[in-house]
Amino acid sequence: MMASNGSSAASDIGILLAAQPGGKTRDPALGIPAILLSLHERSLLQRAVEHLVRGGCRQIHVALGDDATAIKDFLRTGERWGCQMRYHYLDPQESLGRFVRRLELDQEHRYWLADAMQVPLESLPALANPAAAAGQPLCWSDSGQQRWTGWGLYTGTFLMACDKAPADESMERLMLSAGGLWPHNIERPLSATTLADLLDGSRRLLAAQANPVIIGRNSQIHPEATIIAPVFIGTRVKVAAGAVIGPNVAIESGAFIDQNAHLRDSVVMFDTYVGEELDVHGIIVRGRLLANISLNVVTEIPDPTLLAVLTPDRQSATHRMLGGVLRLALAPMYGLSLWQTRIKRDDQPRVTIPLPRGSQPQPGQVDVNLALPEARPGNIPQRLSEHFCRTFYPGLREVMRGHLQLVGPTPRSAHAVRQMPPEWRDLYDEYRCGLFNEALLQGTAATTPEDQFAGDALACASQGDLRATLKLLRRYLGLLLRDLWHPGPLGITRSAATAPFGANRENTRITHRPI
Amino acid sequence: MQLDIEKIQDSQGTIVIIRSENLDAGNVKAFKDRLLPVLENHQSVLLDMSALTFVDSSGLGALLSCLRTVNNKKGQLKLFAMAKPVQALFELVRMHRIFSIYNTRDEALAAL
Repeated sequence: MMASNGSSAASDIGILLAAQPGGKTRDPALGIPAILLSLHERSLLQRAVEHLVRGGCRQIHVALGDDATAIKDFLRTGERWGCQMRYHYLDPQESLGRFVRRLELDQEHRYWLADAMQVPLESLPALANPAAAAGQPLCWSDSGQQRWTGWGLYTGTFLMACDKAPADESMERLMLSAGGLWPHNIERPLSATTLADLLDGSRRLLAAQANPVIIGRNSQIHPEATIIAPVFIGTRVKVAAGAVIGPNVAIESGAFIDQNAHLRDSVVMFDTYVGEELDVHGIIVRGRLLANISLNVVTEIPDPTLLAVLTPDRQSATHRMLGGVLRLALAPMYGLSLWQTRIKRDDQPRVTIPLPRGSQPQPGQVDVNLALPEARPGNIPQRLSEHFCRTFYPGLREVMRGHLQLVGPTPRSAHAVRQMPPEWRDLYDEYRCGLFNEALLQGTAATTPEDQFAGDALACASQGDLRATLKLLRRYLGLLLRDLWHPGPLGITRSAATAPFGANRENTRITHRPI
Repeated sequence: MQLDIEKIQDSQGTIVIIRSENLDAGNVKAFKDRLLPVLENHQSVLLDMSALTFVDSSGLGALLSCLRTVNNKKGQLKLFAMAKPVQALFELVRMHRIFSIYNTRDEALAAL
């Protein structure tokens, strides 16, 4: 947990402002809240949560406004990021201080305050300035003038004393000039305040990417299409012959760019069809909606030969039949897995979840049989066992056999573990938590070849990709067979998913160790 | 489809003001039926598009057909006061490179 002397570097609780009524409006012109619009396959909201999680936040209080349902549907419980989401409604006239007081936070601790409409381009910096008694706002320089990003690490006392509403224009002045604050300068953040900001954000992301041309998995680029860097092409994108893509173009997943279309300085949102011969310049397109930034207009193009929404392919009868046959063919594998877990498991089928002393009461043993025991809602062991038992990760059988120890109530990435207090870090060092899909935090592009399981699992979960599902099943089947041939935790040790903590990956061996 | 026709003084041209908000498959035939005689009888035609807020592909086709008629007789067809959504569509399909488009009536008249 946080130290209370103000010198601690990180906070484990974040406050995410996903509602700013009356102030910066989230532009619904493209049909969804701007913070949910995808920029290089990740929305600003997702980027904000990832920053907070990587900054060490285990719990995030989300301030909701008009778009509450869409935001809650996206964030859900936060399990996807290994953190816990708590939702609160923010009254339009409510001051930040009053809102924070409602959260019943500790005044002495420090908390990350985050604005989902503006998100830092890079990861959050390590802030540890002892002179900053009240906190450290993150700022950027706009032509020599200091601007507040909407982010910062503040003490509870300071936040509770803020008498301005988050959308209040004077909030920025307060955050830059109040006593005890020590601003920390970063690059200009990504912003979704206007669609022009969104387009500009795409340009800056393109400029920042290491590879000038990124093409996602399962995308098809016709040999006669021309790509002019910098360009980002997401997954499952199709580019037809004669199309000219770039420079400064981002095409999100599932889009189809038809013949001889010319795209420059634009963003094509997911599942969008761009017709033949179209000239897309300085434009954000989402389905039939077109936002021309230079003309400052959003218009709907009803002609499906120009722009259209691509719905996922409806499965034909043959396709459905094939799927059924495939499921039948794979059915024995599930039986094999069950046999492994039920018959071959050790004498101790229970898993103990160790927790550091003083942090939380020891939750005791968890029965991780597929038939879950009755437990109270919100019970940590139940939630853990549900999470793992319902997730088709390699290593599941190791939990059931007692070979694998789960550490803490939440699976975490290596980076998150490094940000944790020493007592937690020690636990993670001692007891590896193998059932963790690091790709969920890093994105598929950032995973190493070792993280094949994680990448395939991500593709299955996020895209419902049949090919990735088959690959995952094939890998899993291979592991099962190898494990049958050479019983023991060797197979699982080789999997990146069981050794997500980087440094000692080669030497990691998960062994049963009673606690 | 209501079109108002104004004669331009001291010129062989005329200004056609489109009163309808839409130019689509529903009224494109009426638009062509009314505009083609005007195009045949005048050397220069200026189209006031300020009332138009929506044009679909058949509307674009009708405008192209009118342009072809004018070009065949070496005349001029100029569009002006185009609403932003319509202008965005014209730019999307590259028709802003084919038509002479002006912001205001005065600019269009000056270009005659």
